[in-house]
Amino acid sequence: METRGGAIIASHLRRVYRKGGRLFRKGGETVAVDDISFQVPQGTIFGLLGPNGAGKTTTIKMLSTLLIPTAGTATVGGHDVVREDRIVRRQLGVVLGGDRGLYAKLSARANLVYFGNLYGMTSESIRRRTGEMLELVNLQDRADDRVEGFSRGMKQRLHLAKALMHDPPILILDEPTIGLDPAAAVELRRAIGRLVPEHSVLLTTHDMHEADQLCSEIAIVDQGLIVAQGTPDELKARVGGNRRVVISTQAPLNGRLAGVEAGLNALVDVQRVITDLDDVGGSRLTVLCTETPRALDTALALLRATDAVITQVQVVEPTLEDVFLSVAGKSFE
Amino acid sequence: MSVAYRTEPVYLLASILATTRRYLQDVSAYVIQLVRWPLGPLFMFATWRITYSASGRTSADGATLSGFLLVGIFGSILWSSSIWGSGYAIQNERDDGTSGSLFLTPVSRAAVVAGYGLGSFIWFLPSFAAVGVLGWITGAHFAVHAPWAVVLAVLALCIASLAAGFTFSGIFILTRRGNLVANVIQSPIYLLGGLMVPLSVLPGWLRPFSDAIPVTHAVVALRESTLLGAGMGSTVHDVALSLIASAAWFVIGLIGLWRVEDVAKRVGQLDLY
Repeated sequence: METRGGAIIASHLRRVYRKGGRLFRKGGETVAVDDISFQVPQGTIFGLLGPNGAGKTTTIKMLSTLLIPTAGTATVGGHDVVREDRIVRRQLGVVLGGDRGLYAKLSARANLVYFGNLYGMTSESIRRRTGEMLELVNLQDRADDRVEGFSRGMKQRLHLAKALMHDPPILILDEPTIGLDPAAAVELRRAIGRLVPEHSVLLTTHDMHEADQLCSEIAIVDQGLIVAQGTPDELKARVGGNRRVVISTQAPLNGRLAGVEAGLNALVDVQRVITDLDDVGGSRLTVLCTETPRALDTALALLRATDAVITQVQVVEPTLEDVFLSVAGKSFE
Repeated sequence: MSVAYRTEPVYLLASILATTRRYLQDVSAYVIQLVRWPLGPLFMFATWRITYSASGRTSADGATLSGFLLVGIFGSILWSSSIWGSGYAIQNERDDGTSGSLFLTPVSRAAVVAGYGLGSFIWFLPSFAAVGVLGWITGAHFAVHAPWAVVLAVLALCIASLAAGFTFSGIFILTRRGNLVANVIQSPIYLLGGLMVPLSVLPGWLRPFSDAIPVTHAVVALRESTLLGAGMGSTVHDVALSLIASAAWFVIGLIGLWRVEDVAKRVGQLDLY
């Protein structure tokens, strides 16, 4: 299949909603997506990460042919999402967030059969794929039960089966684990992880752990713009100063700390040293640094030289939350 | 093994039939539905039959009262099935939260609407049977001289109802209060379409409104061919008028469906997904 470079290519996508207009009154405008460009490489999971209202869902609605962009272009599997929308829909499996989108009075099997028909699959293909999909998402035992009795996690797994039913090469998953309990979320993430490299996946989420765990590349979206993009490691490297070494001692070090601080501050990797008391009355030394190994070695050596008894050592790597804080200038939530 | 796809015409037919089956599975999930639909037309027939009898009438438009009302009730059953089946199709998907999933597939929206229409016709079959039996018991007299004329009239009635469903499917969703609109337009049609009242007693200025409704001519054709022994000639005339009106309603319906898609995708104001 010709995909002209990427499974999904978004180029300067923009979407403006006009609201509140009446016959003789012009309504206001809301810019949901300002200018978003990215490519989803073949066989990878690409993440759109951002807080609620950042423009992620509007972006995937444009990519999945549910909305026409106000400006910009996008292709899915090499096909234009506006001019070739019917072809795009065949290439694409979409899991929309939330537990809507399934026929509640129908069984899991009947839902898959119906959607197979809506995609134009032959009867034999529908029969075979229904069995395969129910097995894939581990719903064989509940295949003939009505969906209205399913848990949120089961519905989400059925959503995934529905999206994969017509064997599309490209998948868009919009907040697939939202509202799931931790165990169900872990199970669904495992299933998503198994989709590559056979499929190319665009995943939107506001769960940073999920993005970090699943995506080979991430675009961080805020206020309709991509504010940072790269692999999780590349993004975290941008905020290397946020690495922390935290060491606790059994008893307060009091006057012995000055020498430790001076020794650590002499290292080029160390940006700042903070000392305070921990919850159980010992001293706590927090070293902000760009490289943890040397700072950790030095801190331990200096503390041992003071005869301190070390009770806890913790190395905290930067998270995508730190990245978002750094590039957007605000907290994620 | 990869997935195999149907050819386009087979795909269209299969998606209509799949939607019909899904519609029937959906409505039969509620026990009240199994009771409600056959009973409703029965009570309607009884109400009109008693009302006419109380007024001293024994016939209407040259037919027995029960025969006249029986055909009218058939028309009204089809009309109701159009409104609440195909007419309400997209609105129903939105209410159930499935319109997003539906619009993500490449299926023809018109095929889905047609599937609802066919499903609702099938769903109403017990109603036809129940009312038919009641009509026969209460003295409906039939005079069929051209069976093919009856078949033609029934087909025209089905097409007219489906055309109305297509028209309403776009209108209902665009008004965003489909059920209210459906309730408002349901009753006047019993009058204007000549379903329960002879067209001959309507004021002249109402006649253009009656003529614009495809069901009107189909009901006339069905009454004349089943109750008055009309031949193919006069039936074809009424059927042709019905088909012309149906075609116009189909076009309006298709424009409405196109408009729904446009408003949903371009303006983003229908909350469909």
